[in-house]
Amino acid sequence: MMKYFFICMAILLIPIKSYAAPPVFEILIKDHLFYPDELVIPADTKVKLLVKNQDATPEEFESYELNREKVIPGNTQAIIFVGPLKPGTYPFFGEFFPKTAQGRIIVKESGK
Amino acid sequence: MLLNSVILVLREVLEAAMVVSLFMAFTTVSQQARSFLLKAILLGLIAGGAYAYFLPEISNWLEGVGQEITNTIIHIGIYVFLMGFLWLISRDIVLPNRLVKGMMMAAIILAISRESAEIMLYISGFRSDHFLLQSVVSGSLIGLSIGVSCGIFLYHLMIALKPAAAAKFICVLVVIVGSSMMSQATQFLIQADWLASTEPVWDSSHIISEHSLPGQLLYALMAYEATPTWSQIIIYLTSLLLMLIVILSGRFSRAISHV
Repeated sequence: MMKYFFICMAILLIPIKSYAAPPVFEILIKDHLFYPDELVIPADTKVKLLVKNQDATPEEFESYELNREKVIPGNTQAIIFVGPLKPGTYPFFGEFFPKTAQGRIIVKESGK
Repeated sequence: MLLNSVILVLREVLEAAMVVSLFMAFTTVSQQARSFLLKAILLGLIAGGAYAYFLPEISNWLEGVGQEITNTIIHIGIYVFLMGFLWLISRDIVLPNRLVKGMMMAAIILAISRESAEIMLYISGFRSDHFLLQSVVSGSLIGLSIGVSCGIFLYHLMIALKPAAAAKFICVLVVIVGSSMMSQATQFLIQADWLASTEPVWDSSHIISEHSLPGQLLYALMAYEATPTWSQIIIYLTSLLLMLIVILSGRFSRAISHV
């Protein structure tokens, strides 16, 4: 009886796991630089980037490799969904200040 | 900073310049006044200003994806109005018909609003820095001039053709540009997580990089992506097909009514 109970519980938990909110990673923009400028995220997982622009000037988070572009007005924050991605390096940059605002997302297999 | 501004503004202007010059050529070929297009450009700039001004608020809508959804709506809107334009002219409803004018104006207003909003936000960021502002403004003006020159070049290329050929050529370009709007809309829906993100189908970045000039030009023309997803490809092709069907059905119904 207990066995069936646990099996039922396990089955019920599957959707909870797969619909779990994606992990959140924070990136700061300050003085037209990204902090951190290198972010490691797990492979094959959708993640939510929370980009906080602490400069007074707007910035555009852009990446050709990730196919993402989003304007982030000064002193605001933005959400950008990324992935699921294969392992690799995906550069991103701030289109408004590309000389300094450069960073990359490194996708690694979990457990490595 | 100067070069950055040139590139950024040029990228934004190219796309809108394409739509405007297509329609400019169309009015010339149809021998009609084009003051309504200038009105649309002006309205587009006003709409762009409003979008830029309210962007901080818009970004917070819909749990933080308001910007993506607004951009999606703008892109779908451009597609719909371009499609309406194609439908009307393929049924032989031509300028100075008010509906045709309306479709053209709406497409231009939407195309200019998004692109100009980004430029305005960009330049406004340098308000307090007079030293940088100078090079940003001059860079932006250079970018704008190059973009407009490209549009003028395209315009002259089209009006150099015979009117019938020019009209056909314009239609083909409207179909290509229009479908690319849907591809971009798809991209924004994926970014907003309203559409599931899947792995890219191919990676052609080693052939034409999106960083390169040809890549940028192709992006302006047909929303070139080096790493497109299935949803983007399917929606792009479906949109392309839909526009062709609209043109053909318009011609068909015209042929029937002539019998």
